[in-house]
Amino acid sequence: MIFNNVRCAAVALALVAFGAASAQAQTATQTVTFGVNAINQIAFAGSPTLTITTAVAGAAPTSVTDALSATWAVTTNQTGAKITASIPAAMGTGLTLSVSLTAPTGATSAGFQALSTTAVDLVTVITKQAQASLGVSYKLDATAAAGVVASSTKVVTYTITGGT
Amino acid sequence: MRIASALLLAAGLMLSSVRSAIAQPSTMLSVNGTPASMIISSAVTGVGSMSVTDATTTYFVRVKNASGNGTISAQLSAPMPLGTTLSLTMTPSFGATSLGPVDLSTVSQAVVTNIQKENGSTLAMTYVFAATAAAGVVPTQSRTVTFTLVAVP
Repeated sequence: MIFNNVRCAAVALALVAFGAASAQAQTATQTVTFGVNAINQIAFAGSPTLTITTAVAGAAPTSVTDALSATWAVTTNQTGAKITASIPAAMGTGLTLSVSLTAPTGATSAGFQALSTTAVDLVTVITKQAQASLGVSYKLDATAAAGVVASSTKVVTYTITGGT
Repeated sequence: MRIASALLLAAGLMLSSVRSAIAQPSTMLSVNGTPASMIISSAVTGVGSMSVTDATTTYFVRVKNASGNGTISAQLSAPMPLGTTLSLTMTPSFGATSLGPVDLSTVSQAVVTNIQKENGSTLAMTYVFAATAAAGVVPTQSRTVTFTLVAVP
């Protein structure tokens, strides 16, 4: 009886040892969940200053333009996003502040657009783009009737509206 | 009587060894936990690639018979959506080599190689899900990652 047990144990051990030696591959699994939400982000850098100081005699004061002091960047993963801009209060009589944004690849810039309290489209059809260091140009126009205008500041609010 | 006792003791020791062998296979790979959902919802404005990282899961590896050439490979159950990648880095056990981050695909790819004799370690795993703007909106979905440990005895 004792010998039988020992023999059984030896056989079992041999079987397990054989099984262990041949079990060289192991597998395991893991589930990974992911997704991407709609993303529409813009950023602006720079604070331009525009001052009209000259005129051509007989013409309106000479407009000034700043195309170097500001840049903008955009990231959208949607189709047909657009950028609009507005200012919180109207410009003084005889003064016009305009802005033009360089369009990212594939989008359309509306060129210089006068800013007012009503949002105006600046760039449209922005589709699945991520670009930085895009140009921003500001222009200040004045009529003679505007007179001397004390230095003041306007905060321009840009808004990106997602597409589809 | 002494002989019988000795034989019984020997049998007991052998059975104990059998139990140990059953309880601890010489080669073992398991993963612990499920990564949190990796949802991209923001970006660094103007930068083309967006990503999220999960490092909450671990894996356990034991290779008692290897001679320095054990490998863990991984593959996906289905391709990733266009413009997205899922990469994986697995911290290597002592003496092993991590090839991470490895962009996972439906083709089995080595993630850790040169796994030497390893008595059993729990190690970190890091997934990075990345997408370009061109990928657009990607509905939430899942992939099964299958890991295979091959160890040469």
